[in-house]
Amino acid sequence: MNELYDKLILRIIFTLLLCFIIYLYKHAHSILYPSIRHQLLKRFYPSKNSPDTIHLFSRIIGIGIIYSNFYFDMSDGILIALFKLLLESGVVIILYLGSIYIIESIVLYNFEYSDEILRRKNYAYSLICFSHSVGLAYILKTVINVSHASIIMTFFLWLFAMVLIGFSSKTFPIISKLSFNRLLVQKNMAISLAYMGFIWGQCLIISSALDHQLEDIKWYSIQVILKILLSLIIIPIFRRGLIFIFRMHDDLPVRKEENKETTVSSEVELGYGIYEGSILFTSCFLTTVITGNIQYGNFYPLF
Amino acid sequence: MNKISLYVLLILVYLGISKSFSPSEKKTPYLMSEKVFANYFKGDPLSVILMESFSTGLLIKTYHHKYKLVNAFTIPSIIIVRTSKEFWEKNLVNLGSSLFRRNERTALVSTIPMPPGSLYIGDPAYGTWEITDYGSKIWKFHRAYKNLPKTFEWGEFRPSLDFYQRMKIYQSNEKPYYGPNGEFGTNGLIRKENGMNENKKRIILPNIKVILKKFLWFPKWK
Repeated sequence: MNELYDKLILRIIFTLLLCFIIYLYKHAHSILYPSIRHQLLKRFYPSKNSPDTIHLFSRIIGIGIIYSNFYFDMSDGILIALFKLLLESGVVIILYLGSIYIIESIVLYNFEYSDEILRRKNYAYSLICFSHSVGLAYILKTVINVSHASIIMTFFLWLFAMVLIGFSSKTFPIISKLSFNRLLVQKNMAISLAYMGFIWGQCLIISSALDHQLEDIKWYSIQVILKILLSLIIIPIFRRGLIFIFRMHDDLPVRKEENKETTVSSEVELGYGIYEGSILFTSCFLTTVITGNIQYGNFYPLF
Repeated sequence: MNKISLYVLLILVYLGISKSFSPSEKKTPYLMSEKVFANYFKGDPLSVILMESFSTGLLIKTYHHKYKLVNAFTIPSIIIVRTSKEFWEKNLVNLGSSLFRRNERTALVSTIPMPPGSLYIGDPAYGTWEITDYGSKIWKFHRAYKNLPKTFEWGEFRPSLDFYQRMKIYQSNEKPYYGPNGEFGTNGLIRKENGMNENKKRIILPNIKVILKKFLWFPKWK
């Protein structure tokens, strides 16, 4: 019985410690995000500004996703376990906030948090921030899992993942017919949903590509690149397949201007954003099954 | 059109990178036909015997040959190679035959399918002709090479002088030889006697019982 009490106390200690780490995480925001200091340091009223609530809770969900994969090894004693937890947490918090900062600098370079959320209450902007936070948390979770708590490997894999996600985020205008900046200024929710499906799909693909045994760095990098290339081949097939199976008709209004077709941005309905986002996300989800879950076994024997 | 070309390019890049790093491409050599044997197989006296012939893959097959490399002075070794469909199909009837030989003295090479051990039969360095009780002559290897019949998987078969003479005629005419009574080759009597009469495909049959058991698995309640 003593052991059971002791285990329970230890679990409570770790819970409190995690709460303390989340408190540190909250204050770490003030270094990278001085503009949202008010949101973190003052009392927060969820009903006052809903886009701000989405923005804040995306960060909370994100850290929750990352910590869902943490392990506490007590075999070397409590002090070592606590030290490891604090060290890993410090690295994780820095990398997570750094990755959100980088991706928002790439994607939302024309927009400011204070303008879009505090003044304009732009839901589309907050949803895009939400998708960034959740997607990056998912990637970071995989990075930590693959690196086996090695700080050097965590850092290099994170850098690798950031390069991949940075490049992939730039492909949105190629994949989507929607004009990102114009629709975001107009607070159009269709763009946020389309982008959410797109970025979550990309995060899934990158995460799935990174998620395999890291033994040899050269072989690992080749495998990741090959998996991403394979995903790029498979995604269009699923996308076309889904559109064909469900008989979806692309009804985005277009206007002809000097032999060039442009979208009538103000007329983009929410449904179109849901269609684009869902098709992309589902295609990416199904692609991860094809790229990662086919075991050939001895179908192709190696000699 | 641009999208299609980009997609094709993507597939080509993927295949190119995969090919450069594929373990099967690296580990299993590709020998297109008998023409490359002389360059690939080094050393003499050497006899390359086709042991097994199988293909892998679903729609686009990869064709494999399993060879036994027999050098009278060393332990025989086994090698698996990839080969072309034409060469693979051509040799479906040659299982157990020697597809390549290099003579140690003349360094001459031959790629005509011959019975295994044809390189050593009749060479006084490896054995002698012994007269049987019935007056016929049969080939017997010297003591040092007594394991060679086993290596060639001859079973009870011992080559006679008649066999040897016919073999030489076929060799000079550059025609495959399977023995006077069809002892060698895929459907040869020796392979039939040894229970290897078919060119069996490498199919590992799934154990239906095990698969069903997995589908119907339910944890215990204790």
